[in-house]
Amino acid sequence: MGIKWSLIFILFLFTTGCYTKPRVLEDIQLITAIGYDYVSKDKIKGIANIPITPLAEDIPPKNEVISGEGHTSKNIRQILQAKSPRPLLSGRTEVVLFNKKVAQQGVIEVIDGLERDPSIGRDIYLGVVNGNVEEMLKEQYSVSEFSSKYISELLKQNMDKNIPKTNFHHFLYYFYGKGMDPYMPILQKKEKFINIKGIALFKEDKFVDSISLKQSFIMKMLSEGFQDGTYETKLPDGKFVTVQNMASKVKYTILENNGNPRINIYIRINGKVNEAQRISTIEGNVINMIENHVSSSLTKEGKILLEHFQNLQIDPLGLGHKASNQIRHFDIKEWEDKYQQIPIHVKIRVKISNTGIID
Amino acid sequence: MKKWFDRKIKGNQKSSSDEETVSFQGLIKKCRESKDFITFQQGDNFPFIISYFKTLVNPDFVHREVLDPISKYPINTLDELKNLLPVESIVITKDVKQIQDKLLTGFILIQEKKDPSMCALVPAVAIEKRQISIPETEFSVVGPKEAFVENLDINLNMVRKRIPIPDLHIKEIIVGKLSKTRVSVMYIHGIANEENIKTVIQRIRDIEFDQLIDASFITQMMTDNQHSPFPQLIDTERPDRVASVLSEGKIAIFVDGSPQVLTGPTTLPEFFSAFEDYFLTWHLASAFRIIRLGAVMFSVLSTPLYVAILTYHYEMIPKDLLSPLIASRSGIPFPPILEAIILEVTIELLREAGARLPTKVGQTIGIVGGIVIGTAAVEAGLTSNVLLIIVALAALASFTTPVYQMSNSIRLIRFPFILSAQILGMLGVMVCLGFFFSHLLKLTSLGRPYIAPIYPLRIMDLKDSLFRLPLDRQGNRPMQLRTGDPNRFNSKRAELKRKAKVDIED
Repeated sequence: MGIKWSLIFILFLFTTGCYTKPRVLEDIQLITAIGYDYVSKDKIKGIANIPITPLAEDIPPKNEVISGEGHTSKNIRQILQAKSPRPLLSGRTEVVLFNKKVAQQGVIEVIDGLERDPSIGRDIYLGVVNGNVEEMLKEQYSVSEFSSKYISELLKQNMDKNIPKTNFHHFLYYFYGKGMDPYMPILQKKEKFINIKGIALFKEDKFVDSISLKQSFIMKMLSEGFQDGTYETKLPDGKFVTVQNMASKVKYTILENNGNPRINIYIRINGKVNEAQRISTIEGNVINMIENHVSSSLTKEGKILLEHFQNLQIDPLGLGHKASNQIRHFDIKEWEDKYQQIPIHVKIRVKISNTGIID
Repeated sequence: MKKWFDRKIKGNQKSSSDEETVSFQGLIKKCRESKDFITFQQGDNFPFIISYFKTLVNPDFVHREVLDPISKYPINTLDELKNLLPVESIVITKDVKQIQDKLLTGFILIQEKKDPSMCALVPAVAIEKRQISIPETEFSVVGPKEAFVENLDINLNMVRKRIPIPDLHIKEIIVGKLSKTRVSVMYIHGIANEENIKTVIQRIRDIEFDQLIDASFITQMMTDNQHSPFPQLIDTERPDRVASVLSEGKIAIFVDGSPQVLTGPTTLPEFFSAFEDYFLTWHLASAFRIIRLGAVMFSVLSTPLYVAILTYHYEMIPKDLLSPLIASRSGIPFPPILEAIILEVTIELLREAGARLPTKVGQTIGIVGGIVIGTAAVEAGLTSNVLLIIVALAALASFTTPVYQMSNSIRLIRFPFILSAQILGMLGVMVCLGFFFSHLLKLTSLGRPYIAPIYPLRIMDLKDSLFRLPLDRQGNRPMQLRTGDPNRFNSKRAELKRKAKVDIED
């Protein structure tokens, strides 16, 4: 008994150095968004969005940014810290934004620090900003108290409907994975609002091209099954019809014949007519006509998008990764050489099961 | 050290054996020292000397049933007296020890003048008893509403009338050098495990204490681990609960002068089952038990988690809660740990003050606590309202535990958790939880595992532990009690009866 207790006591003596430093909530300064602006070829400007919570409960919190220029993100962090009265902690970061020019230079060096930091969640959003990041974060938006909250909520709900899903983890997975290339949403500040302009396509970690919001919807359809999201198309008679996606499913089949791979993408969409300008949807063949038209126009746009990817020699859909799962003795080098010539067939079947409560 | 200890014990034994060799004259002389000891003879021709303690006997009874017949009929010997008096259990003896015991428990001592060493002892004890009232700590809306009182015989009666079988055995043991308290062990022969019965009886016999006032003394002195914060025997004031645990194969311990009856061996889940659960349908009962378990976890862990998260793990706070939390914390001069301890101690003070004060004053304590301390502390910037809500809810949750002793333990074990949350954050809470779980694993109740249906896992016993299945599924007695008869009723026959009934309806 005596030995046991003295051992425990000695153990406590040895562990006196092993304590974690308390970080009491009100004594720290949280960073909720991190942004990087371009300064010169080897210098970037780091911006941190810091929400200032006032001492009293009935005063609204303030959106504030601090910025500093430096070569590495941790160096910038030090400069930022020199401006803050309380220790800056990045554990609550929700968004990381890159200026377009920074993204063109390559982002992996910039986010290396974030990648190594265990306190940063992997479910935070990344984005490319068309314009000045500091301006975007500085603005006190009327729709949300903090710009970081605005951006993260904007991205969250749009990734459900309009643009393909991506976050920090997804970006890193697509960056490090073989046969895939990452992507990020593009944001632009327009007066009192932030718009999602589309998707920024990356080759390795460098921003190469962007696609529009409408194309982002096609890309989302090609990359994952989802619900919601509306597609507008022009019928042959000049009228517009809007179809809402109720549930879509995508299936990839990758076949190889004598070293010549072939990709078939089969998409099934169950949708409903949301808006049809003065078209009576009660007749059976009208619905059939809309179904055929929507599927053919979706197929066409899908093909255009895939050709665009092939021309850029990028693979944001992760076709190479999918092929490696389906083809025996897969060689990524060979695949990448052939990538631009691989025939990709897209087949989309649209079924309209609902036309609203009008007829 | 040990030698000294042994010598001390020996010394004690010597003094107790001295006491036994008191002569009859010595005893009477000792008794005369007290003013309430009465000795008298009625007239010179009266053949008897009558002595008793005035304060122990019922004077009406002495006049009506003893003095009246003696003066009416010409009797001269004690044997004649014994036949004459309409009182049972009159003892005629010379044994001084017995005389002393009886005299001091309300018997009348009658001596013949001719032979004063021979005594008859007539029971005439005056029982001052309280009316049977409704249970207070284990009140239930439905179900029987009688609670135990201080008198042992009434308590035994209340249970015996619920189990009218000869197999219900009662063993009596006198404990306490000064108090001479009657302690009764009750069990159903053939159902209760023999080993358990022997353990209980032996442990009660082993108690060396002078003044045994309440059943809780027995709990403290005979439990398996005296240093555990968890009670290892359930004390109840409901005779229906005692009857039902006896039929499960458990053992009840009654202590004279205590309105609480101890039952055991018990398990941890039993402390969270209110007896009212058995009066409700099984879905409700199960839901309430799960709520109670959740309440216990909440009560123990909520304040420590608040301290840990606010001190170390700001990442865990949901983002919509961040700014309200920072806003409510920012004006407070204390770190979270001090804030939490101040509030917890305040709540404990309120409870303690409320428990000590008479009911009418106690109500004002509620107002003082609720309005003055609660609101004013927040307005003065001493605590955040978030913590105030957490602490109040945690206190409320701890009171949902049906067994009073357990709810006390739960409120106490929160403090080590709070301290370890401050030292190591969430890891500290987990380490502390580990300590408590390993302690619970080691704990036994009368030698039977304390967290039984969970570890060691007894799947059949789970039917009435964390949840309660319908009564017709309760066909077996708890496996861990190792009962003599594992079946409560013949479940096959019950099934047949149910089926037969359906046939008739067809």
